[in-house]
Amino acid sequence: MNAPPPTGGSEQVPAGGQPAAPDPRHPPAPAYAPPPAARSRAARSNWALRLVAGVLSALAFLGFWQLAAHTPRSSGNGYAPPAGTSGGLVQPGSFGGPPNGSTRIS
Amino acid sequence: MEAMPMLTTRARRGMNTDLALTVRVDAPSPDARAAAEAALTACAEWLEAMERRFSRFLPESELSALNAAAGSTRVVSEDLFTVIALALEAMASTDGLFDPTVLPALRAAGYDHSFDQIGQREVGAAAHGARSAAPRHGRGREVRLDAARRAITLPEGAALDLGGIAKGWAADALAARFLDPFPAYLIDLGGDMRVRGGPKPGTPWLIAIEDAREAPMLGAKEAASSGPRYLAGMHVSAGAVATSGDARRWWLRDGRRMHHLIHPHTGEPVRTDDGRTDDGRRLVAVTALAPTAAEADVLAKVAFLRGAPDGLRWLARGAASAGVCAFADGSLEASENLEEYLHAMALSPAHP
Repeated sequence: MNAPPPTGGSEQVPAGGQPAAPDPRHPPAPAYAPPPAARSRAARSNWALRLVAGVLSALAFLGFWQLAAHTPRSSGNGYAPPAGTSGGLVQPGSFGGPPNGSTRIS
Repeated sequence: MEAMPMLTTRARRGMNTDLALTVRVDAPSPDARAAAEAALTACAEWLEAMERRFSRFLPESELSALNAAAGSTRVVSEDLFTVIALALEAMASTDGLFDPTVLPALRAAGYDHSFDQIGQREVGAAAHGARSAAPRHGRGREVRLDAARRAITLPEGAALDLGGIAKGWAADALAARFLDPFPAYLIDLGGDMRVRGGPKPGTPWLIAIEDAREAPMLGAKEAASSGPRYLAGMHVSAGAVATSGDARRWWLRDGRRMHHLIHPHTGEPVRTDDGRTDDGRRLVAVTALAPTAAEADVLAKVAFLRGAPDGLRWLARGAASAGVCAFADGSLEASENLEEYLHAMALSPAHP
């Protein structure tokens, strides 16, 4: 029964499970290496792209933060925790006048 | 020039407590003022009618007639049926901590006249004689409701007291039936409150929590010229607030202090000297916030019976309610979700 064809990867593994030893009569082709000048241009280009991407990301983040900081928390009837409120409670000294009503044991 | 909002308030005594209704009109023309006055007049007349229907202290009330007919089936009005059904639902959902069938226990404790008559007074020793064999509380499951006929059957010896939910239900009914056309209102029925909006557009109502430790005797005029003392306030623009505790509705029976909150296990008034807190502070009152006043009414009582901090945790479960505990040393403790709850209620589309 023939071994199934390889489905991918850079190495063909025979049915035995071990990669074949390199044939000295046909050394593997060297990996592609661009010339030094080209590497430098590519490196500078990548670096520049990364810088631009980083700046744009920072600007987007700052823009969002500014928007969030200045967006009112309330809408509709305009509720927002007034000054002097802590955890939902207002101290009597911060009422600013008589309350509109009071809850008491009914 | 832009018209200033106008507030119209009607205050009176009723249901054995102080009542106050306030509505806001944003364009106070003569017609708008007249509409506000007419609505408040209708509210006052309706409240009088409800008191005649729900008061257990009036022998001719519909509730008294129902209680007197225990053991037989009686057709009742839609409002009475609704409130009783609500009360029984509350009993079921609180595992009996809220109990509208507690009237025999209240009478045995001495609360057989209105609080105007017995408030903080000696009512005398319990009457001697054969005690009824029927249980004095916890009989909610025995009550039969026939919604199709609006008929109610109380078991023999049972009797209902709706004081724990009727004012809250009434506040909700006032909001829905009479005050919904107004942009803002503040309904205060003896401290059970239902609100919308605030005194002017964009401003919530400031609702204070009274210091129950120095509450004046019920039924008497304010003795102190400085008025009530407040422990804190809350900015509330939607929903309801109610407070329950043992610091106000008390009387003496044979020298022993009694109050109106009956323990569901013992059938006796909850003991006031057992602390009921984890840290030794004595719990005096619980203020509950909920979408409706009927709910807040029930929640405040049940949270008080649960004690602190369990009552506060219970109020904060599910984010549908919140609360504040007040202690004998003057300290307050709010549920963790209070601010979040107030904010969420203000933004709710149901409460513009």
